[in-house]
Amino acid sequence: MFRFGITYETGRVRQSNEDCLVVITSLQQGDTASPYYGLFVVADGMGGHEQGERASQLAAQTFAREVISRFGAQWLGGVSENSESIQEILESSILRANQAVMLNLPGSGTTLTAALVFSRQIFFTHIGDSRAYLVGKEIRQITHDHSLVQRLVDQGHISSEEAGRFAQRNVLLKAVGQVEGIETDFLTIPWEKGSRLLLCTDGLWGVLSDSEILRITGNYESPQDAAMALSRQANIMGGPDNISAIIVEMTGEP
Amino acid sequence: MTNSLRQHTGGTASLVVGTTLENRYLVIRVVGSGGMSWVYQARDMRFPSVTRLAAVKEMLNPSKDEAVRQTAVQSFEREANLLATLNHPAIPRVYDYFTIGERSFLVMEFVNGKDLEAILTESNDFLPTTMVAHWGVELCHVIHYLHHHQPPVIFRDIKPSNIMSDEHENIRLVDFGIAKLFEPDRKGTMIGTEGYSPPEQYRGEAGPLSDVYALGATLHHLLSRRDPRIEPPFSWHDRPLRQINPSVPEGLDQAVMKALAYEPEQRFQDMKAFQAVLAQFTEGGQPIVVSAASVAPAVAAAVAPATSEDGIQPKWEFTCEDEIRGTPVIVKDTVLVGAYDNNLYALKPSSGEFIWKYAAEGGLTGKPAVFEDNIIVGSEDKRVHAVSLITGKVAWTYYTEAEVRSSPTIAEGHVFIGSDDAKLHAINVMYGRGAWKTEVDGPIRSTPLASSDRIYFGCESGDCYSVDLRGEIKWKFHSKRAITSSPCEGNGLLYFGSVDSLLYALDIKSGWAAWRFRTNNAIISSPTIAQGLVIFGSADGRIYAVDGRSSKEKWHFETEGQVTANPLVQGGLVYCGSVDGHLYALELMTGKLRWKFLTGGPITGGISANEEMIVFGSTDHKIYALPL
Repeated sequence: MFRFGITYETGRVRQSNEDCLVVITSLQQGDTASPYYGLFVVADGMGGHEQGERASQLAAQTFAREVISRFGAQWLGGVSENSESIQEILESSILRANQAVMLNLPGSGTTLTAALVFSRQIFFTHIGDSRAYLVGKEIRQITHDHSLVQRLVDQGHISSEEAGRFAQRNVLLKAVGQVEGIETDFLTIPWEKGSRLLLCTDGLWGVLSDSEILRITGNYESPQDAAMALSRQANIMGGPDNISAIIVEMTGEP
Repeated sequence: MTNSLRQHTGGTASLVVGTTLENRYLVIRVVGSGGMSWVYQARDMRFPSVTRLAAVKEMLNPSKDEAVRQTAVQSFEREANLLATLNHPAIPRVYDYFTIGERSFLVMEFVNGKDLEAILTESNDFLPTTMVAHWGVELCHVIHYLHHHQPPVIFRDIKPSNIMSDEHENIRLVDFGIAKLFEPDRKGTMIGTEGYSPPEQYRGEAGPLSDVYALGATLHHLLSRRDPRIEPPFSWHDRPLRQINPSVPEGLDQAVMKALAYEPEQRFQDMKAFQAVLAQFTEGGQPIVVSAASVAPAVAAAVAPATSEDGIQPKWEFTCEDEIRGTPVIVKDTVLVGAYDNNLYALKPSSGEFIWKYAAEGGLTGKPAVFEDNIIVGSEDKRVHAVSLITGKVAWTYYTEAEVRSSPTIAEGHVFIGSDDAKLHAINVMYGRGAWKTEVDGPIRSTPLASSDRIYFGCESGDCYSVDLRGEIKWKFHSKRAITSSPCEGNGLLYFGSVDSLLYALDIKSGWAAWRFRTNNAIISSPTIAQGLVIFGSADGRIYAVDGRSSKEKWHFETEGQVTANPLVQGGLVYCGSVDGHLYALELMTGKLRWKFLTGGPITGGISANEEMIVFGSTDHKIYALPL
């Protein structure tokens, strides 16, 4: 079973919240190898003129709707042979979201980081600079930002310390809704016992260090309390951007 | 003056076909749009008896703040005045400009032609390099003019879609990015998918050397057909021009890479210098010597390590009476290998000296398994044989109903092995008594994998099965063709290849496909996992390394024949045989060739290793031991 908590805060500087969160959990009992699945999505819109919030919502909704109609249908026994791989489902769902934003909100864009949890496995898909972490005894960043600053760090042009002070920290190299046929990152890892999944936008990870996130998350038994504590701390640090996060736990044997 | 603008609030084009702007410009069609700007083709009605066409560019000034809007309009007018003073055949003439409410318009000469992006998209092959070099020369000329204009003009946005080839095949620079003046200073996340822009431009600094870079990026795109907007920025070294398009002359490649240097001081220092080098690669251009310093460092460093075919001397060889298609094992000072001559051979690892052989009544194609002092092996005589490691005498045999080409796996006191009788057999390893059989849809030639109370195996029917320790099927996954490849496990996933040319990664618990990776021919080779990489061969002739978690290809290595053999990873190297007769040793993380060793026939079996050597067989009838 899933236990999760969320926070969704505007922060202390912005007027509106351009982030969007979607959480879907499902359960079936009976003769099935995989009684649960969960879909967790964060998106951080951009583009101004209220387009940003519409872009993140349109992308997250379109993506989730596609995943449910394809993956969810199979999970309920819809298709059995030659079905799509989970990577193909996630990638084509992102492409749909991409088309929807390009068509309806030209000039805007959004990040999108999603985790599909199924069986004992987590499947990630990702564009932009929202992040996924596994938080247990240690904190491990799973996604790799598609940002200029990350690219410069990867190429050795700046150090990760300089990256924190880099002026163009917010320049993205990829976003949903920008170009046709965008390539997404895909990754799958087994769920590690005792660890929590954290998805968040840069309003959280941009102000709290990994070790602060680890410490604060570890202080709370309930994922909801942990999520609230994270956004409280981000606001104390100035809350310069929208703060959104989802924390997921898996209880019992999946 | 009639205000022909439609009432609207959103960011849409305001002019419809048939409207007349300023009582003068009749809109004929919408040519294009980008963000907050639109371009129309219009007819200048001041010249009623001739058709004089104009391009009208409309820009929306979205700011609600009157002061901000005024500033933007002023900069627009300043820029338009500047453009009107430019006088170069490659720059369209500016006829007029005006502002109506929140929209500003620029009226220019209409260029009849195609932009270079469209030309590239519409061609099915690489563009002739002489033509691209010629465009480069013309562009250098016009950009040089801009840089030396008073005041100097930095174009800032050189890319194929901003360059047109007109009806006389002359190059024209069409978009002076004037629309950028109207983009509000966005707070928060911005987007930089330009791809053609140099690093300093991301920091808001642009000078003449930024245009050198952007022209380099444009030429790279035109020559490679690889759109930099969908690649990570500054990743040119990951896409070597000549590797993508072998028709690009080396000097042209070097010139483009020099223009694309990360540090501005390492680029051509002005357009004239760039132009001089490009000119040699136009039709009839004369070669001049390019200084060695112009070679970008990462290119110079990418030198393949020397490989020596002769450097490796076998520790020993042993000749059997027929082909060796199976995989040897090394155990307790004995090398064991089954041959197509029906014999299981026991040899000394140090010298290859013969110890004993055991004769079955059919060929041995699999890999023997060892349990305590017994060796278990399947044979085309339909039997599974257990032979004493010490004496080479039979301990027990077990009959299936058809040829056994699968290899045994030992777990929980049982031998699990498939047979062409379409059954998975569980046999008590001590006494050779059958415990159970699971019937499936076709012959089983893959080697079962035992893990966490489950047995996984592929089947010639195209199915992969998971059965529990009582033989009950837990899940079944269907691929389009036979699964001869044997599964391996990692990251919670089960990896195997199929004759349908795909490598599959299934969620091991549920049997759902997590991802698939496409090769160009059947995969019979069994994957192995090392450092998170799934290593396997394909009948397309390649050895692949694919990231097991993301399905991204890390590298592939091209051999001269099909790769149906199983790879082995040992000490940071991948060893794998090919039908071309070679055994290849490749670096695990890069796929770079360390050495290769030629045998007298195709290698289709796998490899075993201990601390000192690797052992494998070839269809030339020989077993080879190579020192590590």
